[in-house]
Amino acid sequence: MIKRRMPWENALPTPLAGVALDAHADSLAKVSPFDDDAFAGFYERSARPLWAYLARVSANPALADDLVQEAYLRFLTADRLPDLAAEGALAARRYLFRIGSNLLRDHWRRPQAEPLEDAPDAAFAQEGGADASNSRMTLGPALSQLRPRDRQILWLAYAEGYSHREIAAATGLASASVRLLLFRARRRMARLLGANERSDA
Amino acid sequence: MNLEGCARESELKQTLASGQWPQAVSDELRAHVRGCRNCREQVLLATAFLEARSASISAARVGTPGLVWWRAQLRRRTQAVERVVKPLLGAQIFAFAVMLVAALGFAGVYLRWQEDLLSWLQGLPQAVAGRFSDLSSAGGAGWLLPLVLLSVLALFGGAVVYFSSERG
Repeated sequence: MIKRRMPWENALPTPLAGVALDAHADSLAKVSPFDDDAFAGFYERSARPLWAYLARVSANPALADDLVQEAYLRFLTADRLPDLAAEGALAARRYLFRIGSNLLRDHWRRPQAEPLEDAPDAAFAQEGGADASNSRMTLGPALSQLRPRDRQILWLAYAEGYSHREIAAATGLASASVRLLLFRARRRMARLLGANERSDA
Repeated sequence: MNLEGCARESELKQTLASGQWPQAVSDELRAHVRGCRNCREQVLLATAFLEARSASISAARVGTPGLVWWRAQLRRRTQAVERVVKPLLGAQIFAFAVMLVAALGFAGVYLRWQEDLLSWLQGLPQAVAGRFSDLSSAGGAGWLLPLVLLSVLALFGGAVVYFSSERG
């Protein structure tokens, strides 16, 4: 579409006349592999798993609400998004989880934020109800006893099925470190789950 | 501490991820899991996390994709404006700094021209009184020249701002 310019706009520097903004918007449209419909489909498939990850790891569903919104905004305004055609939706999803992990890390680094160890885990501690399985009922209290990083890597490994390399990419850790951290976290979590199930029985 | 894990770990992970555990796996694999600590932990954690994931996904509170898309467009626009305005502001500050330095330079040069500042100030009223014909004389040209140069410099500064914003 050819945009007509008023005569007085020709006397202005191009940024002030709006030409640079239009050019920038065009360049963004070329970079982003998403259109409105493609994004809607991607969002429907990825938003709930992302919320589950953020809510479980932070033990704070209200925080997860905010972080999910912010993660998608950063995802859509990123300079270089994974190419859906070349790399597939899984790459875009991994990139989204990486943004979510960074947002969690930023949240924990902020001095005014409540330390995760002190945060109540009421949202998931007594989840389920009478028909909930033992393992699900005991996961909340057991998770709350782990360090935030351990929660992250355990969730990504066992709930999302990520490999060591994918976890490393999402959390910013080295792949070799992930292997060791995951091993230790798994041992600790298994001990906690076993202890909780025994005490429930 | 065995970081490598069990040799059947990947097979077990596949059955867990595909939902085949425990009904659709062989008795032999089930027996192995009972006797292998590593695989027992895998099963315990995967079962707990996958159930928790299902529960969390059904409880998730997410907005509509249209709203997120609209907010992203708005943020893109804001970022584009910021990218345009930032170099413009920089050019303005730079031009102002150049002007200031040049003005101070001219002032310094001018004061050096004047052997006696006080005598120049005493001669100033007569110059202002309208003796324009005398402006070309030593006293008049002494203060008129810097003013002309400053005016030219001001015009030049404006052009610098204009062309800098044009590139930004």
